Amino acid sequence: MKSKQSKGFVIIASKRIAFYYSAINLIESIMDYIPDAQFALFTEKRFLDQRAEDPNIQVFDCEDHIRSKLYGMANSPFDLTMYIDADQECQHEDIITIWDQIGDDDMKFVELTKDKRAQGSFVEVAAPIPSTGDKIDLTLCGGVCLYNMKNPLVKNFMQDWWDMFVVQDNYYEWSKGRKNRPKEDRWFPEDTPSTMLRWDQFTLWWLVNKVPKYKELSIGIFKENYRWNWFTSFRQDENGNHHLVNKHPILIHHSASMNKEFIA
Amino acid sequence: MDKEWKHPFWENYQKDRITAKLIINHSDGKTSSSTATVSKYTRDGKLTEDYELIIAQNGIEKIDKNTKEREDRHRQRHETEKRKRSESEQARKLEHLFNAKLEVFEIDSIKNSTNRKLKSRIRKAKNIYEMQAFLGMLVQEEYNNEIKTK
Repeated sequence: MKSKQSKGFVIIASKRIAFYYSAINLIESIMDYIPDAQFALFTEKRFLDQRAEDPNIQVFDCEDHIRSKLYGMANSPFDLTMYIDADQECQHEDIITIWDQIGDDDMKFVELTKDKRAQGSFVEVAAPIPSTGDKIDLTLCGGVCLYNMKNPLVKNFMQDWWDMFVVQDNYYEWSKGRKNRPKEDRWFPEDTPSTMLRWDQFTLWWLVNKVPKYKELSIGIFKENYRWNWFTSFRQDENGNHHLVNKHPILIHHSASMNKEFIA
Repeated sequence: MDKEWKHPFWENYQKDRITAKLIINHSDGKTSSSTATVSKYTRDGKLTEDYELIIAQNGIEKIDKNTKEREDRHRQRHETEKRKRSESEQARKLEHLFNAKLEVFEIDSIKNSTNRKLKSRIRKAKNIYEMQAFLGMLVQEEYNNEIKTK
């Protein structure tokens, strides 16, 4: 008999209370369409209020770290997990199809396409590593990720993503003169452009392309791609139609436009 | 010194002024270039030399064609800019709406409200006015509840 898979959303709100407010809005916006959806909210104790006491929300503590999202992803209590950046909002009933999206894959991402409008929305999308001849190409977006934690390799992948990003970030902070030289050895080539070290997508690119054991993983792209992570920077046309999608987006990403300084 | 007029176009619908790129080949072998506007007539009503030279070097048809292409280019650029401005304005409104919603949900009576339906209507509001209408309803409801319990 097939054992029952637990399914739930992982949301992380660290560093700024604005992310907590937005995370609560995201959770409630999903509940508008899936009232019994299960959530794991990783946040800092200082942000919590009574809204997180909902029986459908499990609360976990996380560090005041810029990419606590990776810690939360690696520690999801659910078998089938949908991670969503806290500065998103659910706006379409098709969210109910989320668990079917995994298909036969171990992980599903939204892909950054070569479209000019999409490319222009991101600070950095590619860079070379001269010593290895590699070209880093950040095509997988980390804004959402659907993954199957029942597969131990996926679990390892998520843990490595967090552990390796912490090292990479320490080197980035050191390169900016904000931290002492890291104690850990660097896992990435010394001539990796330091600007790349800011991005968890770089770690993701490395894991997917450079770590042999993860070649076994089946990594897919959401069928309707940007509907699952539609950035407001993509804009709408004069008739209100969202660019780069054929139907109203399911998840709207307010990445650059959200007021992160907001304090109630 | 000889003059060469390139890329001419009509400056007006009367077709009595032309703007073109003027290339002058000087006797010492040097070349200079500038953009100049030439009138068709002198003060006493005769055709100007430069006008006649432009027509001779390019022909009326070529000038008509250049003028049309230039107008099309300008129209297209204007339309693109207008579209971009409209998209940008729309995006600004939506960004403002989202941030306003987040602030609204932090108002104590809204934050503590258990009326999920009205909260959902606030969240799904398409513009700031719709949001304010549902916000008013929810605040009123919370106020009435407060009065009742006193």
